[in-house]
Amino acid sequence: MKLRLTLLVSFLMFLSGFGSLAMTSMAASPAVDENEAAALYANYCAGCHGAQREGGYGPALTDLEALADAELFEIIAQGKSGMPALGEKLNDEQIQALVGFIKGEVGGQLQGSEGEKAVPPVVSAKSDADASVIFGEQCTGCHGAEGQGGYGPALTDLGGRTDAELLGIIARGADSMPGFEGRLGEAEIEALVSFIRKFSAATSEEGKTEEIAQAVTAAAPARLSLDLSPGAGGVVTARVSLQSESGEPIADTPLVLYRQTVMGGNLALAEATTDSRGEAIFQLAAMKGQTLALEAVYAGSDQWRPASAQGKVKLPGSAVLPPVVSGLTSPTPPPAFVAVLVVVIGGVWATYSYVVYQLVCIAVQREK
Amino acid sequence: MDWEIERDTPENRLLQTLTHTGLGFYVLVAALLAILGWGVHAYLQQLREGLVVTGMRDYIAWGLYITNFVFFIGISHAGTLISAILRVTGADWRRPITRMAEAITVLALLVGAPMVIIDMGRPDRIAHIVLYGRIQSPVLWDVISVTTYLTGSLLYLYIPMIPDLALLRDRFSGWRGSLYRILSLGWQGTPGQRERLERGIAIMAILIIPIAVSVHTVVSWIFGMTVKPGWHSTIFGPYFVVGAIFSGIASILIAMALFRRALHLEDYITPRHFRNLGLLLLVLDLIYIYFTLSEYLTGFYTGMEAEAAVLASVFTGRFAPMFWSTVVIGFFLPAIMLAVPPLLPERPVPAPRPMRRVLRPALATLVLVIVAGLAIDQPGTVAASLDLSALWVHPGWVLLAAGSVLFLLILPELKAHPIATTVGASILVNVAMWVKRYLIVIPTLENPLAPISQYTPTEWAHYAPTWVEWSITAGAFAAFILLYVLFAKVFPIVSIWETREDHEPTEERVRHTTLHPEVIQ
Repeated sequence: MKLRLTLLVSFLMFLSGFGSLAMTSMAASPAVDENEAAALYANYCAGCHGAQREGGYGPALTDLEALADAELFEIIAQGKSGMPALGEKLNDEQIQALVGFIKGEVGGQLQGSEGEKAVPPVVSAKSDADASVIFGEQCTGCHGAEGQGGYGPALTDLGGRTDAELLGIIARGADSMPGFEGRLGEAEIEALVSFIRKFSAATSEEGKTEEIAQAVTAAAPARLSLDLSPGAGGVVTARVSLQSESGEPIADTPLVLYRQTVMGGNLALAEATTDSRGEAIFQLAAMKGQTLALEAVYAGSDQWRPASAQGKVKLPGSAVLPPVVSGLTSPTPPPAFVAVLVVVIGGVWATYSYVVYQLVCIAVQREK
Repeated sequence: MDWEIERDTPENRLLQTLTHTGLGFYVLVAALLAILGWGVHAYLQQLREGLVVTGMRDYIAWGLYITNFVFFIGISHAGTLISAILRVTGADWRRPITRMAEAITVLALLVGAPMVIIDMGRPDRIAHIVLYGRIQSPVLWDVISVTTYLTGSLLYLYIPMIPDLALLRDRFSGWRGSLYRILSLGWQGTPGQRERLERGIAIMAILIIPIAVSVHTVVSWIFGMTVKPGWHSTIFGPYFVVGAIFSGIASILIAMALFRRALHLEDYITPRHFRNLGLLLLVLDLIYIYFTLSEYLTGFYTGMEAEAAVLASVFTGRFAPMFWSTVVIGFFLPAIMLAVPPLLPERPVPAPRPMRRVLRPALATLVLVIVAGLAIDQPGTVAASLDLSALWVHPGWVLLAAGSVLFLLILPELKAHPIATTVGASILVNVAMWVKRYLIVIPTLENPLAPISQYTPTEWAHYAPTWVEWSITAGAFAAFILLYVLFAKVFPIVSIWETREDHEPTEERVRHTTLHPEVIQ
């Protein structure tokens, strides 16, 4: 009996060991493959180190034989001199993939057409949301996520440069900053210019907002308004503004935007902090023809009472393509096909009916 | 209850299971209801907030739910095979297990079909399937074929039950009496009624076979008719049908063992049933291994780019631990468990000396724990703190070797307990078949033909089920078991008239049967 039990337990443990091994396949954060490594390089490194690793703002990455993998991993994760740390943005597998990629162990040498793959394609929309995406991918490495500067200069004070000047700098580069002409379209660069202007606007008005905030009495009612406008390319702009009763803007206040789902749920989409005008702008991806019911919520503070505002927007639908007239994808299927289907399925259901008729006969035949 | 058990016959003991309810039943039902309730809670959350609470994203539109769907439709083939094919071929030994198998069919479909609706982001638009569906789409074929199959298997479960319902009608009053009276359709076993019944059973037994085959073929076409690597294959139809029958047999074996133990049906379900079905399971296992090999070898040999990416993720990549465990434990191990012990010479198990009795399994366990710890190459485990390259071989091989040694050690035990061995193999098979469906659905979705946009966040292109999906999955299995347990409480789980000596549907009124001469006097 004891032997049986021990054997059984050992065998079950063997199975569970195998089972937990199998379960690792279901875990998140999988290994990174070479295409992904190339994409990671293009997003995070190419801006400074060049699409072909030839160097630019940062040093060339072509002669790294002397550098151990672990050291390289450390540099990517922790940063070095002016290079920003990527440890927070990338997980260990991704950094490991980058190490392999940079050393040419994964995905071969970045030469000729091979390397071209790594360059991100030109993005073709110029809304604010896209600009923030582009900024996040191309600029934050040097200029910081909030434009506060890092390897590159801060963007909070643009020194009175005109839009045209800024356009030129982004397109062709300046000092050691690489030009983005080949990588971004004109529209994207324009969008970027207006995007980075926000950093300076936010800083210069900071002083004023503090004064306003101090003047307000405790726990006064706050007014929240939600203005929704459907934009081109399936983007909805939600402009939320938070004001006091008297119409003074309430700045630096966190707001949450919820989507009211069809089944009555509230899905938190995004959080944002109001700017000096008491406004926060959300950009939401949406489908053509979709109806979005949104709710902006201010949780309240010592100074202001909670407030919320709801809104609904319907995006214009897209033109319906003319129907395909023939073949298996047309709305009106070929008659022969339908006939076969009807005969087969109809035959089965007719047989069912016959069987049910037998049951009816059984019920009818009972002795009175 | 207006009748008393007068004699301790197998049939009376069977009928007793309907009314004599132990504490275990209530505990089981309560536990299943709790799991089901938790699943419902999870689904309500998904309903309120949308599919964002699951691990599914743009590229991965099918996850655990579709895995469950294919799995449940698969085990629903139990009834068809045991009942219809064996009935048509006149295999008389199948009689006691017919109803169990047919009930699995109906209940698995009742649980499996809604999994598709659970997978929908907007179930409120369910009517669009009919309103805007294209009859050319395999998805719509599936709706039609599953509905047809469910209707057919309900009829096929119900018709052979009518004589038993009439027998019960005459023995029970109260709600059971009313229920049985309505369902028994005034059955009196007259020659006319018997003829109609036999005709109905015969038609359904033949008709349900092609329907069952077509249902799982159509399920496979949902995959196979797309131009996705790993799915677009002509073998998918037969592959799914074989897989369905395979897991169906495993399910009926598990159900047989559980009912035999819980309801004391040793008179009806004998070792012979386990041996016969075990052999069928072995055959289907070998066919399924063959099909798996054919499916992967074709894609592997041609090595087209997209196909190669799917296979790489299954063979050596992210899904490799899951795939190889499934193949070894779920397919090869059951085959060995079913085939080898009967081949061993009949020999009494030698009593091991005391030292060996403790030492051998203890050593094996120790080795196993260490090896399993090494094998799980995850942060925080032993493997993470050691340099595994010093092992020279992949830890999987070490695990396999240790497992083989252990298997040889317990081989005499397997020989001594054929029923337990068969059921053990069935459990392994069912787990493996669930995982295999997961391995069919997910790797292909993660490796689409068109490249995944580099702007897609990594976690959107890789699927990891969330607690909501696991909860709903657990709820679905609980619902299936609950329905099965309740079915066995309301209806006799073994067909009474078919297991009687004469196999005739109750010819006379039950009060006048030879079973209860005392009652008449």
